Amino acid sequence: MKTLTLIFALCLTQWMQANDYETIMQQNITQLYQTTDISMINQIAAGFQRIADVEKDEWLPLYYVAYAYARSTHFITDADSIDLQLDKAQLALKQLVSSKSDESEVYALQALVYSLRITNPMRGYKYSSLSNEALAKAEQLNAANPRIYYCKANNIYHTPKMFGGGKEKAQPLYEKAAELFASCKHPNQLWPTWGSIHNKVMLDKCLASE
Amino acid sequence: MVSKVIYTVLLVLVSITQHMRSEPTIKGIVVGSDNSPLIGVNITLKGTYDGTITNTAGEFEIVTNHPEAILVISYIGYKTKELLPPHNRFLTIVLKESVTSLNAVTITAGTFSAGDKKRATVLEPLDIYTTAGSLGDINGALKTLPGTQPATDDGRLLVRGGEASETKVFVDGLLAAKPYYSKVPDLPTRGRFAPSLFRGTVFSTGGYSAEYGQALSSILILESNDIAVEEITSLSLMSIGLEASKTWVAPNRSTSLGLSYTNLAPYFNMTNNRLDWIKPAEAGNVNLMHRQKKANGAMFKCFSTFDFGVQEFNTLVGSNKVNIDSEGGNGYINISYVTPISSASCLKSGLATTINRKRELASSNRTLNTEVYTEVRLSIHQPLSEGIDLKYGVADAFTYYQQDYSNTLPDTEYSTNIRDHLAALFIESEIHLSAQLALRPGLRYEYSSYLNQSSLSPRFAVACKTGKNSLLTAAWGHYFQSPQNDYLKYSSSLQFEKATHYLIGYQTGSLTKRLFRVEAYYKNYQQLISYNSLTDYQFQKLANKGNGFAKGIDIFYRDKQTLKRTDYWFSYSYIDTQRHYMDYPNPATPSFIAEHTFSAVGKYFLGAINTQLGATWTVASGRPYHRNGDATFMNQKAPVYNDLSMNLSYLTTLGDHQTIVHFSFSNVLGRNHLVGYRTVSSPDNSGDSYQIPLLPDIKQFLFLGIFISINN
Repeated sequence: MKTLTLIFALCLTQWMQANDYETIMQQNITQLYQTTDISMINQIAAGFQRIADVEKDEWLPLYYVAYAYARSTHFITDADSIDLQLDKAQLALKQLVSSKSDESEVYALQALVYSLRITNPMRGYKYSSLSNEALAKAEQLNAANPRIYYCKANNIYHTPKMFGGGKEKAQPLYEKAAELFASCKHPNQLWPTWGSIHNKVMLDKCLASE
Repeated sequence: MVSKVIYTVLLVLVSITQHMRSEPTIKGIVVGSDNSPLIGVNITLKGTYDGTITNTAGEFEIVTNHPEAILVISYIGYKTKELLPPHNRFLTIVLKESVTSLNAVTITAGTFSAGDKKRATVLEPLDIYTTAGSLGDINGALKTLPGTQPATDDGRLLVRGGEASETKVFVDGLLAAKPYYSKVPDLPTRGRFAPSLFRGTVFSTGGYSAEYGQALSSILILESNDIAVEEITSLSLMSIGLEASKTWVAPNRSTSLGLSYTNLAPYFNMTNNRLDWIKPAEAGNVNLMHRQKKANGAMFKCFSTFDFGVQEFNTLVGSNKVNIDSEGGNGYINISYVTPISSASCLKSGLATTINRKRELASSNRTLNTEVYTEVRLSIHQPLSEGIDLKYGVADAFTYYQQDYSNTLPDTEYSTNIRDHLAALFIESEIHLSAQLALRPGLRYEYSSYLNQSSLSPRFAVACKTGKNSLLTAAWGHYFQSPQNDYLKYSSSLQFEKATHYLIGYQTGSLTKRLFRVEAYYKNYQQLISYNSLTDYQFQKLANKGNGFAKGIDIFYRDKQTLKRTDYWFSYSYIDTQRHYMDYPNPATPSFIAEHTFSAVGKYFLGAINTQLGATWTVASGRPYHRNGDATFMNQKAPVYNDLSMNLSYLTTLGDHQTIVHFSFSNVLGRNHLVGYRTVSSPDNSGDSYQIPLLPDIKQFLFLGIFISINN
């Protein structure tokens, strides 16, 4: 009888697993961080979109749709293709901003997407202004979100010195982000984690050149 | 034993279930209406997490335990399809392009726009600053586009055989009646509006929409900036003056104030001028902008600019020295409000008014002009169904023109005035029959109270996509315009002047890489102003008996891809035009027309030293002019016009503030820019006439400016 229950339980878990929101989300997130292949990332983004279509009350699936497309641009060089991916990210963000307008993470991601638009210097002014505007909103909602300072630091780091940017000005923000990355507790397993590793890389870069 | 059996049975069952779960697969291919595979199409089983996207061959395969669910096939820019997947069959799914997709065809006939992400875009907003020879003037940059005449003696836009007055300028859809500083004879004028106040420009060289009227040749639409997001204070120090501006920002609104002062005296002290300046141009300008967005998305914009300027010089007419002294002030206020009236449609309302006063003394002739132009406009933009948009509206443009003229030798005095209400109604629809084919039929009605005359102008444009990035486009339309105030002030028994445009064009490529565009046109003019002569301050036999035609071809090629860090474009225009109007004894090519015009614009960015170099080269064939005493009218040709202008912008910091140092040098080669001769009657009213050469006041112009942005 014991075995019977065991087997039954086994069946049940297997069946459950396939429909388990958290497990599938977790699988997709892990896959996303492991791959650098564009078609794979697009496949994962579409997967998040399908979950978002079903789980209408969750905001994280849609968040990861936007993040996956944004992330994909790190592995693309052609400016037009980058724009195309960011258009898709923006589409998801647009929904998020209206459905989850009180979440700091949404605006931090919006800021990242705006910064990624800067594929040529001509766009610098417009999109860094938009990005900083989104970051201000994110900070207002949750000043302890490390990604705000990570993004801010990146914007400053990549802004030419004569426009008020540069390494020296970015460093204190990378430091602040690093502290918050170390101390912050995520409300759940699926919570966004991006930025922490790259933040360290950038901070080391700043420190190395001192 | 029993438990063992059950154990085995169950184990088998588990593996069967597992096996079964991976068994039902749905396979297929997704193609567009042209049978080409679509890549990255979303395939979803409705209500489940199951699905995939198509691969590079357009194929997909889904393993699911929900084979009963509805299959949803969706793709950006295409109509979503739903179907019940049949079992064990390879599916071929054809998706239709959505007519509202971003890639759908756009009507580009006759239109050049500078903006962010529009399809008809050929210029970027920054191009206006970085084009050598433009000297920060919007019109200067537009003159490097095909279809325009270089016209160094004018400064205004002369489009496809049309006079300067045949191009109208609109700010946020509302008339800007005096877009240029007052023009004095022989000197080019400049645009009144600083390019930094606008985020986009739409320049139509013909076949424009029924939304606008009263321009025989062309319209230029300037879209003013949106709400600013950053507080900025900026300061400009220039060889010809000073400018300062400040922008205040709050959530959902921004206000900016700009002040400028121009004085050419210090510069003219160092140059060799053809004219004998007594008071080189001196002017002051104030501009004020306010933008506010409401929670429902409604946008309120107020744009205003005020200026006052003076200048005085002596010029030679024959051997007589003529003194020209002019001063004038201008105010322009433009208020617009766009509010959504349902989820998809919006109501645009606006009011723009121009008040202009100018006093000019030319030897003993004194002219005082007072002009007021006010336009009120209301329009509704609404989608009727997918792919069909409708725009309709009503406008009234009021003109008040008063001219007081006096002459001391002999003692003459007269005053004239015009009051006109030009009422207009328009309706226009943009119909996307498919993602490849769009039509834009429109109709405009106008009535002038002064002329007591009405006009009905049908317009039609079409565009057809011939490839991913290429399209064919064509337009036709009737265009009417009231005669110029210089004629209207003598008579109200005149008619509208009329032009009929026909144009066809082809475009391929994209602005981010390489763009090629060619357009051919034919225009027919009727009811142009004609008269026999101007004697005793009266036009003899003033009527609308003139006519003419213009035909030509415009070519534009821009390339940002081939050469690294280099952006360049070429424009070529050919025009064949004749008019039998004004006091022309026979049909002739007007004196402002160059048959062939070529310009090349290049920009090169030297990243290492933060410097952009630019050059603009313009060559135009000689313009015709008439020499007194010639038997044939307009029988002379001016020499070929050849100008090379260069500029340099250096980005740096001054203290902690971003600074741009800009230097520009026009007519680097030092060529003699004689573009023709103008016949003027003797200032002593003896009846003699003289011909004066049309030459720039200074051969070469150097400009140095330092622009500082102070970030708070």
